[in-house]
Amino acid sequence: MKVYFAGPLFTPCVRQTIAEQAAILRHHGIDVFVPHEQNKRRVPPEAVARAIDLGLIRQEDLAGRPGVDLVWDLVRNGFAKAEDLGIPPATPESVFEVDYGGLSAANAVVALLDGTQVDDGTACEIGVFYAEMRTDPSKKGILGYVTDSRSVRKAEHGYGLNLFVLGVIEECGWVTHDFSRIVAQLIAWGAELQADR
Amino acid sequence: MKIYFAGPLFTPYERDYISQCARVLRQHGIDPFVPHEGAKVEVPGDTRSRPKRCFDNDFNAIAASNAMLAIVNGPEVDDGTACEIGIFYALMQKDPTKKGIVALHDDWRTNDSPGEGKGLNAFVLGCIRKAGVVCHSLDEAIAQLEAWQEELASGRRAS
Repeated sequence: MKVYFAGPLFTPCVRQTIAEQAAILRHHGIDVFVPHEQNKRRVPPEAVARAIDLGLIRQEDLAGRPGVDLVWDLVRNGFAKAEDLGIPPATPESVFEVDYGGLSAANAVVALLDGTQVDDGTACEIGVFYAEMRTDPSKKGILGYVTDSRSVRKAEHGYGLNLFVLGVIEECGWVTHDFSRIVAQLIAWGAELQADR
Repeated sequence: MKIYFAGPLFTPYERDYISQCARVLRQHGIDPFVPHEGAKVEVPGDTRSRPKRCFDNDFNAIAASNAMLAIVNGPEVDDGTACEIGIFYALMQKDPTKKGIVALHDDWRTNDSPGEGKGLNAFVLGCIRKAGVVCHSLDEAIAQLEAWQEELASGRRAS
């Protein structure tokens, strides 16, 4: 069961929330694609060698964790600059290519819908997944997750979400502020997929 | 050529602007579907929810369109518009009568220059570039739509 985790991943607090929810899903044996974890894919093998040459990591560190992860941690934590290690910057084309790959391989989408509106990237991903789902029986559906108390107060009225985005989600799933419902539904979809095979 | 005209349509001036652009498109022989122009008359006995009615109305129009014109102005791309862009992109992969997406973008906050604003969302921009272009004026957008209209017409003549 592969899940694409969509959401506004622009600030550390949202990335942390997504990472925590993804950890719960992984604990249940679900294979989760988290877009912000894909950044390290831009790290070329030469960057690891370069980091060793510069004395930023030691050869023996590589025994514990993959070099790419070590290098990306250096960049993320401000110990090295991506350009100094020869890591190419993210472009709209590279972001779309990597994330679209995760989306088309996924059996379901979990979308964090918090914000003044549904994040535009998240909304676009919901659209792509829904349209592909119409001709791909291995795609089970989209589950929206809301935590913002202002939206939760409007739970009875579609959480105050954009009507079209809500309509798309409700074609193939639903929106909730209870994450345990999402976990249960993903497990049920996973079992359906197993049975289909 | 049928196009789906996506954009934020929540305020009277947003709707007026889209309607104005739609008039110009029609003068150029392009047939735009404008979501807010669709009859929102309540049909007696229609038990569908509001999101369902909105979805049915707009999705069917996207599926029937040869191209999409999307206004992507604003601090973020409007979520409904972004979702429609995603749908059109995915449908286009399997439908050769769909020519592409033209984004109309003339918002100072989200252009590439330094200054206020955060720039267009990378996934949305990547999606648009993969399926079409970003234009910075209506004239430029119409020129692209006319080129696709011509391609469709010559395709029909050839077959």
